[in-house]
Order: sequence, then structure tokens, then C-alpha cells
Amino acid sequence: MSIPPPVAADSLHERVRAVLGDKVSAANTRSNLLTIEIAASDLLAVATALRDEPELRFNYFGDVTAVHWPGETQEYEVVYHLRSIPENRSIRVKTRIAAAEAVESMAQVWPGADWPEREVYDLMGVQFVNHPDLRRILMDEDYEYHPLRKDFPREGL
Amino acid sequence: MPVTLTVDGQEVTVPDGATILDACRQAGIYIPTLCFDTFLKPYGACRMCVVEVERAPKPLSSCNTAAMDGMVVSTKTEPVVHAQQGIMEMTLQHHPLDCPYCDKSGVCDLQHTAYEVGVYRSKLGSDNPNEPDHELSPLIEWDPNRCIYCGKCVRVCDERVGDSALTFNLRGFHSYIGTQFDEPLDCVECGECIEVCPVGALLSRPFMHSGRAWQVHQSESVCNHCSVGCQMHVETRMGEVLRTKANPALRDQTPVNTRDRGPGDGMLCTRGRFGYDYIHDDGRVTQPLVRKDGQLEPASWDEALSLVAARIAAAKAEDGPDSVAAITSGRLSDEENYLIARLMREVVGTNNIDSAERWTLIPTLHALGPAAFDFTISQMEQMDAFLVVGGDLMESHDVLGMRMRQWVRDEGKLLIQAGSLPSRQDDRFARRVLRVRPGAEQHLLQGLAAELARQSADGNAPADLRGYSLERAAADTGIDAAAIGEAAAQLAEAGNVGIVWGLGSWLIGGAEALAQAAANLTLALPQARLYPLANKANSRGLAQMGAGADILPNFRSVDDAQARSALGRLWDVVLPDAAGHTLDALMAGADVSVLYVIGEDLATSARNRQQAQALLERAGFVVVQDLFVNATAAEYADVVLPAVSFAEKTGTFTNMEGRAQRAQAAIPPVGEAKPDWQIFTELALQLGARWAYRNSDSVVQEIAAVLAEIPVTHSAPRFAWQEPPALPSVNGDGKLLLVTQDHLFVPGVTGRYSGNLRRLVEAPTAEIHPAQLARLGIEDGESVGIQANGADLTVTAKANDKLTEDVVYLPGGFPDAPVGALLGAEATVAVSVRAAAAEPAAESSSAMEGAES
Amino acid sequence: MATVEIERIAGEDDSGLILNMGPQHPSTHGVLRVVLKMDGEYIEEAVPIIGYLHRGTEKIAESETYTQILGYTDRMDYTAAASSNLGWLVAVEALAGIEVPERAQWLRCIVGELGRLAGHLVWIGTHALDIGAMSVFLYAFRARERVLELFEELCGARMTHSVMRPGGFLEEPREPFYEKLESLFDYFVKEIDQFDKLLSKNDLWIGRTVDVGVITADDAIAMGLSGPCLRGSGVEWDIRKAEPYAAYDKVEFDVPTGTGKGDVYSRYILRIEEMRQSVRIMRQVIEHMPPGPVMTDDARVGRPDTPRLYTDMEAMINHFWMYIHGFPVPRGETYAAIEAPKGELAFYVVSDGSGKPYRMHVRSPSFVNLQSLPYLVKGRLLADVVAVIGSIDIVLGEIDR
Repeated sequence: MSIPPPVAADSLHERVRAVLGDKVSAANTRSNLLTIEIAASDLLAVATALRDEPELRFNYFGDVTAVHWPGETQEYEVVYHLRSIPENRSIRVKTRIAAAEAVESMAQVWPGADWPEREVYDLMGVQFVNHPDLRRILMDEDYEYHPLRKDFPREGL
Repeated sequence: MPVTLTVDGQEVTVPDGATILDACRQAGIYIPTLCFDTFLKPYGACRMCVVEVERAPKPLSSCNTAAMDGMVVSTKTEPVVHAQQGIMEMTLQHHPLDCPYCDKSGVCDLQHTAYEVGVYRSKLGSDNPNEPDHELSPLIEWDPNRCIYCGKCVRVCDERVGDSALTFNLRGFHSYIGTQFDEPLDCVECGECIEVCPVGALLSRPFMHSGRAWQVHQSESVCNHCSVGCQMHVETRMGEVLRTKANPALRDQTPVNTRDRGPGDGMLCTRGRFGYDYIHDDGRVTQPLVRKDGQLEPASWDEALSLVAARIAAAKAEDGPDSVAAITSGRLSDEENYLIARLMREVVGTNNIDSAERWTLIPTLHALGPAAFDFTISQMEQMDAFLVVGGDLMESHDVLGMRMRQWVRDEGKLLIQAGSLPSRQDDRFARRVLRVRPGAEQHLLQGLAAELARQSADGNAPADLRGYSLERAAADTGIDAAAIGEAAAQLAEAGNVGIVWGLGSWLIGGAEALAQAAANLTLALPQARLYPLANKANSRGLAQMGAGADILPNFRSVDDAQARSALGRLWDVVLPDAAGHTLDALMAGADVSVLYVIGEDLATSARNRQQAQALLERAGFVVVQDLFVNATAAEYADVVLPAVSFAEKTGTFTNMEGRAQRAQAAIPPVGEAKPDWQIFTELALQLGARWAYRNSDSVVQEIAAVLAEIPVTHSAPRFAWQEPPALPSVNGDGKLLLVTQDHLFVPGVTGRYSGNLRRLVEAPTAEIHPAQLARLGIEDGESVGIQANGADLTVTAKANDKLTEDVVYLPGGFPDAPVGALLGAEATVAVSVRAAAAEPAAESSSAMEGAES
Repeated sequence: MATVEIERIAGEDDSGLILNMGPQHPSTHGVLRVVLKMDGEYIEEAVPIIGYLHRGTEKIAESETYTQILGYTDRMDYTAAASSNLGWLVAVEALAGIEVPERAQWLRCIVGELGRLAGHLVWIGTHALDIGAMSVFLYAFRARERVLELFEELCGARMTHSVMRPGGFLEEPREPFYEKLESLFDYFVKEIDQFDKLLSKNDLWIGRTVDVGVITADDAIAMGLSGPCLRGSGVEWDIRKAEPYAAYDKVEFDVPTGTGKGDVYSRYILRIEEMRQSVRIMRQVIEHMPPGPVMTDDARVGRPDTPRLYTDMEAMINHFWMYIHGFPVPRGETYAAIEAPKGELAFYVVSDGSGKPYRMHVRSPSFVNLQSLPYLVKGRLLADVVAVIGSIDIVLGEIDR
């Protein structure tokens, strides 16, 4: 058994489109990595489809993080990186939410999302619903801020 | 008509008047530039910004080529890049390898442009003349080697400052930037040339080698030295203010950009740019001091504040609330003036809160009503003529003076300068200079009003105005009647006249009469507009916050029962209805048990110094809250509370236009000093108040509620004919008329501690006309004694042939020559001048040679 | 920091024993703290508590240039700083579109594998020490010293060396580096064999590691494990093969999967084999590495050579601007992963077009791998906790960042 070369993003794009249809609001294949953008409300359905569809089988939760874009109505961009092992497919899924909104926890789909989501919650302030144990992980439990938000100063006085 | 053109295949629409460069920048396309500055007119000297335009025979410089409909512009073609790289290589050939220690490194236009243009390897080698650098002035360093001959410094001095002090000397390879014929630099020392220099050729001497660009923090702030309210950046590193500089965002002035540029139009003057170093002066008082056995000893905040609170409580209990008085200052922020007024009215229960504005701004307010302070500088800009009365704006409100120069020169507006001193506008900007006798400014205005009323065909002007006449004005002011008549004709022709006067030290004693005279002039000149310019950074805010014995917030009178009860409801207290002691009343002999002096050096800078000193001695307990142990603190204070400068606190300052601007704290307080608002709050809590201010923002919210609750009531200015007072005359009895005004380089009780500014003027001088000096038997440079109102000052005499013969000019602000001591209640003071004890002969003769050459 | 966890797992009946382990415990490999609920000697529940070494690297990165951030990636996995740096550079170069010269790509394989060797040597030493094999610790650190000496020869620094830069290497290593490296290959193999002989058939070792901390392949994938923790369960997965970077597509090496049982022993035995593969890779690099420059000729990114800096205005001015403001990186985002000694180390970088990242996120392998600890130790003996922690091979600098 050996590790196959990465699946080309373009062909993966066709398959993902076929499965997800118009749930994909935008997509690109820059740097040979398929990036799809979806609505936060579709996240759980999309994630389950990406994991369970035999053609896709994204069984590996690589990473979750968030980018803060202050001044925009949907100021959090939540970014997921998924892999399929051992078929060597990868995909980036992005969704946008407002600060007051929340996204579904991916720990329901991949148990490995547990700590990464806690980290995003802790440092960025993104709320994950249906997370098994959404608590701060790196900062103190009584800490008041979400330091990776852009309104948190980078340097003190 | 907007213009649409294509830049690198991208369609761009720009307003009419925009250049190709503006269009490119709007489209987000980088065009390298060196001599271009949005703050200056396009110059087109460096040729760095060339672009190719379809159907143009050769590349065009984009900074001074107007964008036109349908233009097709390419910015990255091979000929363009080749030209730019070629120019950059030639520029760099003569540039020294100074980046490792150049102040500009990291914010250098040359570095940035070289990197972006893509010259990485020298083809021409290095050929630097290696000239020595030298100081152009005590504040400005000049390194000729780094100069790239963009001419920005020459242009900014000419276009914006109006001093035209710099020029290109010689031509070709030998050319260099300097003063005309290498004379010593003679200008307002504003440092705009340093600000625009794209490389490190012109440097700030105080800042030089003190911080690298990538180590400093920038915080937005507002200049605190006068009431123009120029916005600026404070550069700090590790809790230390390194320098202050203009806010670059305000200097971006292109047709594409229409943002508000602030009252200072992006500029700063000498005070703003260099007058920051008092913040870290060694003399700062950094912990509370309490007088024990006659000595001021360091104490804890607890000890000092509880002592102050106990003495206030005791005075209140024994002698009644009116035995406590506070003197505040226009240097404090809105929040702080609001809080001290509230502290006195609510917690102590007295209206005894006043300030030195009693002598300038408040009488003007009484004469003209709050409406007179409701103007904007952009309205002022629309006026067709300016009659500037009294002190030189270039000394008191420098940036406004510079802006006025632009209006006068670029738009051909009329400027009439009427004052008793020569001004910096006289030679090149004022079309008419009226040199009035000291204190006769009001006579001039009345004379103009009388003449205009006489001339006016419709006869609408009140008959009273004709009670005075051109001839009488000529006699009182000492100006030729014909000149006044011509000035009146010029003003009548312009119609749209701004009558501008600064509420500075020159006005003390005559503020109300002058305001009255100005108001009368508007009767004869209906389109004229009054511009009384507040003096200190927050003088206007002080009045608006109600920090006066007879005024409540929004300039409402203490007698106004409705305002009083509205304010009382907000503060949950019954406010005292008896008017408080004004500063004059206090000095005249009111009984005071506790005197709380904040931000004012009463013992030296007050007029009638003898009375002020008597007041301080009479007061049983004196608290001084200041940055420094000034004379008041050293001699009279029982407790000194260390306060902070504008850079150490967040606060709002209301400029002359009524624009409330926020200054952000740039550094933490020096030592144990505390922001004034915090001291007031802690004191109020000790006195049993239930204040809950956590920061200055919470005060701002309360102020907004108060101002909404008791709005300004606009009363029309009082027009009342008053016979102008007779002026003292001097004729050869060894007496001269004293004239004073704010000095640009000695801005008041904090700025006087600025070592940077003091580099520009060493000692106070008494300027006297040389003929008069000869008559008095005094030599130039000799020490003279000046006496009036029981005070005696000793200063150095200086000959100035631009003065009239019967005056002596003594600038305000010097602690070692407190001119206030000489002033009394009248507008004009005659002083006797005599030679003081003999000076060493050698020194005075060398000074004379200097003056003659 | 952990009152909530302690209260939660203690429950209301207060029946079990709560045991606190760390954060100053030598077997937690740094400032890891584990709160354990014990039932006798058995573990009912384990709660890892981290964050004691949190330095805000991701936040700091937003105010540093892409090159300066190397100083922070150095200090993530400090046992194998080369790997953290390499991961960062792969991401930056992908985002900025920087071409790295061929020789530098090969050289990066050497540095990457030396990093892996150093990391694994620290691991075997401390892991064996935790379980009671003291002498292995001494041998391993002696061998690691040779690796650090190689780094010293390469650039002067031993642990946090920042020797790689965007665009390649700061400068070509001096000749003695290659000589010394070649001379040590046999030594390393001998040392690795020695560990193998000391431990692999050792009864005590087998007793402490076989069938301890077992995770199945499916669970390992679902939990997001990577590196040896994933391969130990029999999953053949290695980023060097899956998404080759540097010159890994040009060298031959095997991806060991241990015994495939997913226990501590499997993870141990495959790391021993990985060290052999590292030496194998480096031998190939020495043999095939092409001549040429080690730094890109793109002057916007690469540092001008030192002599020119003092004589050539163009070089100096360029150097200053680049180092103060960083080279501008086009707007965009990238996610680049490498196979670090601990597993999949990835950087997600968002650029706003300036010389400093708008957002930098680290997917650190130790962080994700550590979340399997409660699962791996549940129901096991207390003594197994240290064996399992050792076999996950965590480094807190990377977990807390």
C-alpha cells in the first residue's frame, strides 16, 4: 500500500458540486486546493455529506480556525480544512457569521474537532453549538477577552 | 464633471481637477513618487511618476498631468519602468550609506520607492560629496548629503507656511538647500520642512537619534498650546514621548479626497511640533507634596488628599462654603473643568470657581453672547477681507496665521493688520498695517465704525456711532486719519469682513470694550463677522463647562434660575444661587480660607501680581495642582498635587470653533502623577460625594446629558455706545507705554518648561525703539528696570526700529519676567524705564556691534 | 485554572480520588497538567489542562514580518525547531509565490531530517526515562548532542537557529558541515540500533508498552491524530509522500507503521525505524544534491550579500526596507502542511497584501494528538499515563504556542 498523489482540485470540485449542489455559494481551486464557501446554516449537512459520501469520504478533520474581519456584518470567517485518508483528497470549507451568531460544532461529525473548536472559541470568540465541552482551553477560565480579535491590542502601552 | 479614464486596463472615474496620479491611486495602482506630496502643489521635478499615455509622444509625469476623459494610461510598461529605474539609480548615486543611523530609515520615501521601483544593484557606483552637516537653527539639522533635491521643504515653506525661508542656492551639481545668501534662518521655526522631507536631510534636532521608526507607537492627539486645536500624532516609545508630529492622514489633500482636515489643515507650528519636551522635564512633580515646617515634603496621595479634604470640610463648616475658592485653567480638558465646577458647586456648595479667562474670554462672552463663539475656521476662510486687531496671530495662533497667509496670497484676499506691535504678516501679507497706540484698538474700531456709519447712504447705522469720528480716532490711535479712512473704504468695499482678534495677554483690561467696539463695527458693516479667538487649548471649553463664578454649563448665567434648577436636578443637589467670587473679586480682598489653584501660576502670571500674591498669602490653605512646582507652589502651597500633561490622559479639548476633539493618552502618567479628573473625583469622594467616574469617557457621557438638558440660549450681542476712554500719554518723562502679547516660543505656564522652545529665545527682552533708547540713555543689550503698579522687573533692553517710539514691548510667558506684574486694571499701562545696575562693558558693546551689522 | 474541571469530575458524591499531575511534573514533558479521577489505581477520567506556556504566537505574528516570525516558530517545537521553521516557510513561499532554488530544496531535506532526528532522540530519551530506562536517556542525549553540533556547524546556533529563510537559506553551509554530517551517518545508525537492542526485546519495556494506550485506525483518523500516533495504528500516511515539499519527492524512503496495533509499543518501534529512514534520506541528499545558489535571486525577498551592504547604496536601501517592513505578500490565503516529527504541522496564513500576515494560525500536531490522551488512558493504570504521554510525544511549546 502506498500513499497516492493528491487528487486534483478541479476533478474534486466537480464531485463536490454534484453532491452539494447549490449549497456551495462560491468555490475556487487556487494552489490546487479546493475551497468552497457555504452558508453557516448548511454547515452540519455539508459536513455530514462530505464525510459520508463514498466518492468524497473526508474522514479526517484537519483543522479549524477563524479570521476576524472587523467592520463587516459577518465579521467571523470560520475556515475548516478536511482530508480524506488514505485517498489523499483535501478541501477547505469556509463560512461567514456575525459576531452574535454561532456555528454548529463539527465535533458531532469528527470527534477530533473538539479541542480545535475550543481553541477558536477561546481565542477568537466564535460560538459553537452542540459542542460537547465548549470551554476556554489556553486562557484562564475567567479571562474576559478573545485576544485574536482585531480589536484586541497587539501591544500594550 | 467627473472624468473617466483607463489605467492599466482598469476604468477609473475621478472628480474634475484630479491628476493621472490621483486616478492611479484611487484604482490602487502604485506609482512611485519622490517630489510629489499631496500637501503641496504638483511640481513635477523628480520624473519618478512617469506613465505612458496613449497618443502622447513620450511618457508624461502623472503628478501634474490632468486626468482627461478617455485617456488610456499604462503604468508598468518597459519604457516607464526603465525610466524610473534610471532616475532612481542616479538619485542613489549621490546618496550616502546612512540608513543604519538615519532617523528616517523605515519611513523613508527614498527607501520605499527604491524597493518598489526595483533597483537592487548599483551600476553607477557611489559618489557622495560627504559634506559636513550643520544646524540650520537650534531645532533644525541639515545634512546636505542626503538631500535628493525634491524641493518639498522650499515649497512647503513658501506655499503653506508663507515664510519662504528656504531656497535652492546655486545651480546644477553645486545646488544646495539653504537660506537666501546663507543668512541665518529667520522664520517661525515651525518645522514643516522637517515633516515633508522625504529623506533624512532635514531633521528635528531635539528628536535626532532618539528612536527608530519601527520602535515607536503613534497615538492620535490634539495640540495643547493654543486654541486652534491642530490634530497631531504623539510618537512614544516605552512610556516616553519622543516627539509630536502632524497627522499624515490630514495632509492627504487631493481632489479625490474630501475628508475633513481638521482645524489645523494638517499643519503644526513650532509649539505643536517641538513644545512637547516639558512632559519629561526633570522639574516635573511626580508625587504629592505637603508643607511641613515650612518645607514641601513628599507625601502619599492618601495623606495629601485627606489633608485637602479635611481643610475644605473644616473651612466649609467654620466659615461657610464661600470661603473655599478654586482657580482652574483653560489647559484642563472639558471633563476636568466640568468636574471641578461640579466639585465646587455640588460638593463644596459655592460658585467660587474662576480662572484667568476672567480677563479675556469671559468679558468677551458677556459683551457678545455665546453666538459670537459659534464659528468655524472654514467659514472664516470664506471671508473676503480680514481685519486682525491686536496681537499677532502668527505669535498666538500660529497655524491659523499660516492659513490666513494662504487665503491672502492664493486668493488675493485683503488683510488689514491693526495692532501696536509689528507683526509677522506686515511685510508680505497685510495690505495695510495700522500701528495703533497701546490700548487704542477699540478706538480704531470705533473710528472705523463712525466713518462707515457716516458714509453709509441708507443711514441705517445707529446715530450713536457718529458720536465718535475719524479725526478723534486718529488723535487717539496715533494713526493718520487718511489711513483710517482708506481702511474704512477698503472694508466697505469688501463688505464680507472677518474681524479677528485673539483673546490673549495683550487684551487684558480691555477685552469687554474691544468686543463692544467690534460689535459696533458690525452695525456699520452688516456683512462683517466677529472672530474672537480663544487663547488656551480649552478656554472655550472651560466657559462651556461652566467653570466660571457667574456661568453655568453652556454659558448659562448663574442667575438663571431655570438652568440652575435643571442642573441641580441632574446633580441631585440645590445649587448655590449667590454669584461666586470672581478672580478679580478674590484678588481685591475677598476672604478665602482654602484656595485651590489648578494649572495656573497665579503668583507670576496673573495681572496685578501684588494683589495675587496678597490673595495667596491671605488664604489660610493653598492647594496647587500642577505639573511643576511653580512659583505659586514653591512659595505659597500647603499641598501640591501632581497632575499630568495632555499626553498622559485621555480627554476632550474644545477648540476656538467649539469643536470638541479627543486627545488619547499616549503614555502612562509620569511617576505617581494622576490625571486631574481622577484627582477631582477622589477628592469629591473624600468629601462625601457619590461620584462613580471610572474614566474620562464616563464624564463625557454625563456632560452630553447636561448640555442637552440646559441648551445654549442665544442672546444677541449688546450694542451700546460707550465713549472710548482717554488713554495715558507719555511725553519724555522717562515713561513708556507697555505692550505685551503672547510669544510664539514661550507658550504659557507649561510651554515655558519646554527646553526645545527655550532654545529659540534665551532671555526675555524689553524691545524699545533705538531713538527712544538713546533718549533714555540706555544702550542696546543693557539691563533695564521697568516699573509700574508697584512692580519692578529687570530685563535686557533690545533695540527694535519697527516699534513706535513711545512703547516698550515685553513679551508674555516668561516666568523670569512676569509681565502680568506690571499690569493693573486699565487697558494701557505707562511704565517707567531706566537703566539698571551697570553691566560689564564688554558684553554690552559686543551686543551693540551685533545689532548694528 | 482548573477549578471547573476538578469540580466537574469530582462529582457531587465526592467518592473518587482526584489526583493532580503537573504542571511541574517531570513526566509531563513540560508544563502539562493532568487532573485524574482515580478509582484505586485505575483511571476513571483524565482531563489535560494546557495553556501554561501560551505566548500568543498567533497574535504576535500579526505585528511581525514574515521573516521575523521565524523567531517564534523556532520556539514552538523547540526540540526540532527546524521542522517548525520549515512548515512556516513552505506556507509563506506558497503564499508569496517565491521560487526556492533546487539546492536549497535538497538542503532543506537535510535540515528537516536532522530536526526529526533531534526531536526523536529527545523523545526516546525522555520516554524511556519515564518508563524507567535511565541509561537510554544518557545515550540518546549524547547522540542528540551530535545533531546539535551539526546545527552549530551549519549556522552557529544549536536549537533555535532560524537558518532557513523565505527564499532558501541565509547562506551556503561551509564545507565542514557536509563532511561532519557524512561522517556521522554510521554513528547514528549504530546508536539507533543500540536503542533497538536495549528496548525492543526487553521484557520490562514490552510489559509497559504493548497493548497500552491502544487506539484503532478508524478512531485515530476520526480524532485527527497525525504523525507517529496515526501511523502506529497502521495507517500509512505521511505528508512528505501525500503533499511532497522540499525535495522529498526526489528521495526514497519508507513510511513505517510499527506493529499497526496502535499501542505505545507500535508508536515506539515505528519512531525507531523513522530515525533510520531519516539517515537514509540524508545519505541520498548528500549524494544527489545539485550545485547552485541556496537563496532565491528575487531581490525583493532575498538578502543581498554582505559585502555589498556596506558599499552599494542600492543594496543597503533595499535591505533596510525589506527587513523593516517585510516583503509584501499578495492578498490571499494558504494552508501548507509538513510532516513534523510530531505529525502534521500546518500553517494557515491570510495576507492583506502587506509585509506582515493578517492572520497566522498554527495547526500544531501535539495539540491535536494530546486530545486523545483521556481516551487512551481511560480505565488504565496510573503508571500507564506517563507511558502514553511519552508515546504521544508532545511538546508544550507547540501545544500552547
